[in-house]
Amino acid sequence: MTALTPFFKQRGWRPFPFQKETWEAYREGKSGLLHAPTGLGKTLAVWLGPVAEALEKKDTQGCRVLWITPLRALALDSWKSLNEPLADLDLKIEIGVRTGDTTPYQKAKQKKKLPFCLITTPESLSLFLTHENFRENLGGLTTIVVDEWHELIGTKRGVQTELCLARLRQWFPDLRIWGLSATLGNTEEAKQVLLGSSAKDAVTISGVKVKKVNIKTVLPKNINRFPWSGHIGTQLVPQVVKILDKDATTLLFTNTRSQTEIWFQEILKHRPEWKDELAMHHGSLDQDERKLVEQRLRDGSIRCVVCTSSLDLGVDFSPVSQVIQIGSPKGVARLMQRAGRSGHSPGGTSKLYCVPGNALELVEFSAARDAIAEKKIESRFPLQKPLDVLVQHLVTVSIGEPTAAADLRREITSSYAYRNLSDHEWNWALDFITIGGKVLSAYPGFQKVTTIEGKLTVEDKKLIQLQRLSIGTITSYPTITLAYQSGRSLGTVEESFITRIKTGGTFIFGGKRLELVRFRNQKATVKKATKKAKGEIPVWAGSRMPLSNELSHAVAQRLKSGAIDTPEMKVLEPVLKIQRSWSQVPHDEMILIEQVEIRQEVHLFVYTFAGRLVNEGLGSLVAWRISQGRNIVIQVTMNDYGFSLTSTRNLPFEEDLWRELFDTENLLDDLIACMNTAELARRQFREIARVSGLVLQQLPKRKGAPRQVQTSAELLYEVFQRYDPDNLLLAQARREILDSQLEFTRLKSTMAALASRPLHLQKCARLTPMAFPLWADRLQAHHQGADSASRLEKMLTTLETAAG
Amino acid sequence: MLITSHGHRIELLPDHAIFLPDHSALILSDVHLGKAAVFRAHGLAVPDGDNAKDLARITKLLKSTGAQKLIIAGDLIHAPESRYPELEKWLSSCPAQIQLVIGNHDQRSLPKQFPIPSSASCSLGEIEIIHDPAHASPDRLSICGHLHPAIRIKDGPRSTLRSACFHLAGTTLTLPSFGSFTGGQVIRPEPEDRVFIPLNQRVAEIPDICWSKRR
Repeated sequence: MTALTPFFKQRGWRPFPFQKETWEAYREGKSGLLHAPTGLGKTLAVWLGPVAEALEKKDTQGCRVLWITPLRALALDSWKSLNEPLADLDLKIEIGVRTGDTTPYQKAKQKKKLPFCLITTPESLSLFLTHENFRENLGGLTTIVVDEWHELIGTKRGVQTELCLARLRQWFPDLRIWGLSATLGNTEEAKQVLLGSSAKDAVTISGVKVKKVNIKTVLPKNINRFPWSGHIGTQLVPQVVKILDKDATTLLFTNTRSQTEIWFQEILKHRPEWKDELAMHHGSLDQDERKLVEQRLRDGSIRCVVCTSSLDLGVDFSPVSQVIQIGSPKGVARLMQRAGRSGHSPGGTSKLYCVPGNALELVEFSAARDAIAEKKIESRFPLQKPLDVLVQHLVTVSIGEPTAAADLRREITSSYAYRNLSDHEWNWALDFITIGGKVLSAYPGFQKVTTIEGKLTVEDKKLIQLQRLSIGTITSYPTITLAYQSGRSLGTVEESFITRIKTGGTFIFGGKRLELVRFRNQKATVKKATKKAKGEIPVWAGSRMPLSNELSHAVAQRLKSGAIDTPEMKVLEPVLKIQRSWSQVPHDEMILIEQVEIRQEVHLFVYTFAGRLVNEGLGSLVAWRISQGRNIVIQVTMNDYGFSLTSTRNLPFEEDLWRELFDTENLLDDLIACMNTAELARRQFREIARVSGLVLQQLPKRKGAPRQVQTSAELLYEVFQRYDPDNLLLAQARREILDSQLEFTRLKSTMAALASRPLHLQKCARLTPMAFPLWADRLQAHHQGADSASRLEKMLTTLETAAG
Repeated sequence: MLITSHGHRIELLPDHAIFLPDHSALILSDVHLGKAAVFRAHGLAVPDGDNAKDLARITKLLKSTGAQKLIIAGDLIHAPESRYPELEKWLSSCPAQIQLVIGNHDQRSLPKQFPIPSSASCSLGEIEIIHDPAHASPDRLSICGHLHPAIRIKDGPRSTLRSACFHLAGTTLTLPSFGSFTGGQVIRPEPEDRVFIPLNQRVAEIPDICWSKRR
């Protein structure tokens, strides 16, 4: 590595052991996964390997490195940080960027010759595979780096990446593939997922030296006045503003985009003079606006940015000296990642202030600190053989380089996701792309992939164009563009939000009060509203993130120990004391069920510590089982800690009955029956239809309504159900619903664990502090589900009865 | 469900059709034959059982009502690329006299030699059957299709469901689309309109308090 000495000398740095280790392994021709917290120099560790090689061999022509980044917004940042060491080394290496934002001129240039290092996204890489000269252009590719691999694993884009890598590995057998990741609970598995069949000799390198994290909680002055439930926590704004006063650059993270808007307004109310030093950053804001904010963060000309996970990722903003987390951290890794955004010189300390929204979040912060100390970090589980991604990829590669089916199968199964692909699944996928799946009629007519000279090929130019348009649709959701009358774009909102706002109605977006002028053709035109106008704050989907297994366990352990050894627990003690005297403090080595009667209604509160998705499934299941054979209406509410059942009739309150309710026999069938999975699956089919190419992407010049895509995907689901019920895509939709919406695996293991825990039944005279949040959420309760026809029948009967 | 509108008796049938007992006529609209074939021709792997199934549904309705006339209020054929080899055989065994009102899709799709007599509109006594409700006359009862009406119904604090519907607005009755591979378009009825949906083998009227304001 002597070639690199000038660089380190110049900076006065000494390489970390893990960086040296990475260079060694790279030099030996190995692949691997490098995991370390952000800001420790992971990028340098993998980048300097190929750079040193280029220096030694004096070989800087031709494409050698593909650098895959999960977000195209990060591509430019990566470009900057990869260029940085080159100046010191006096090395002329060309680094190019290819994402959806790349100009046609650049694209044409890249078509002829690729740069030494090309930064790209999974979608763009997949698109490259449709170009027939791509393999040739790659020429002497030696290295692929997948940045932020932890963000891709567990997503369909991650699977898309796996498939692209399988093809590249087959083209270049000596390829070195390196993943960069935050530390995960399942780092070894993450490596296998990345490398597939080539994982055997690969190394896992850890940036062991964990960056120091200093976590402090902003404590409420008077716990008795502090809410037991809710998540806004704006009571603490004065204290937060004082932290910001310290004149440092701060990132203030919230959990949802709506909270971002709320906190932005609140801080401005307390410090109007910060109007120009306060900014907002979330995924729905216009890209230019976001870039501006990022630039100001980089040069330190801003006091505070209120943001969501949109700033979780990416290259570091060195001036950031402290981070504030508003509300529940939800997960250990997430909190660490956010903390890591501050204190960004190697060896620096991260400073994190936590702001609880309610009393219980005090425990969460205290528990998160425990989990970090014990290194109990969440895993990210990879997806198993999603067939929509597979059929998309099969068409993609058939366009770029026709391949014999048997060879293609070998290539596909060399990836981790499809390592267990069965004959049935493979044949189904082949039929899907060649003859259009199940053929019922006598007339042929389906055309997509044909076999020419024994190789799967796509010839039709129009189909090729459509396929290119549909690559990259894996994540896009139909959103509405917000723009001023002048045409200047502000960002996007979800369709469901904007359709609720009437013309002339006001709402808050990006910290601005806006009035809706008109909503037409997927575009909402707005103008600035008068100062006094009160506005609704948009709610975006996706704010239902459950508390992770690791963190809820840590919380339960804190509650169980009862130790008053942290500032948070000291403040919370009076509340826990009430809980202890009115009932008992629940934890996850027992099940506590509290019964309270309020105004002729019976409430049961069941504490499982299983996260809100599991509690939703569990609550619905139990309610459904109780109501079988009885004429009883039960309301279900849930949060991360437990669920509650409410009814005007008696609910079971004996141990034997509850043991039966938690029985795991018929679990899947009962769950499907009670959760309306059919309707959920129909909705889930939208994404599957889009990815598998059943729904056409709108052509650029004819921008149409995404609602049409939605209707037709749901309609397609019905058509498939009627004429091809065994289609594997339907099964996939049902499986995805169970996994993503209900966390079925976690639910199953929770139920198994519940069976062995002692059960405590407790009658209470009043709502306990633990019960209160569940009770307060009852307005959002959902009634026990039935299929839509029965629901409707019930409704009409009620109406008729009411009419007399 | 039997309703009376402007003195005419109309039987609303749960399988997306109506029967006029005074004229012994079965009326349905928007069958869109051969739609799946069009998708398949564009490389979309959609299963194509819809033709045979939909024609069988018509046969069943003709049998159960005993109708002597069958009027299709437009859009029998989906597109020029549509294939419907099943149609000819079905016609030869169809017991009723058939009339097609030409819809916008038919206009583009019908071949020169089409075995079913067709016209721009058709009358049964004082009732007029046309494709597009926009062209309905305010003076007499018009039966139309074209819109594929569907209604969104509030069925909980934050949940709605949608269903294809019959929509009676003034003198215009719009039928739900008949084809099994046809979508719906959510309508926003006026307060004095009447809306009916197929529900568990019957047709039910949905009172206006159940209509959702949302589209």
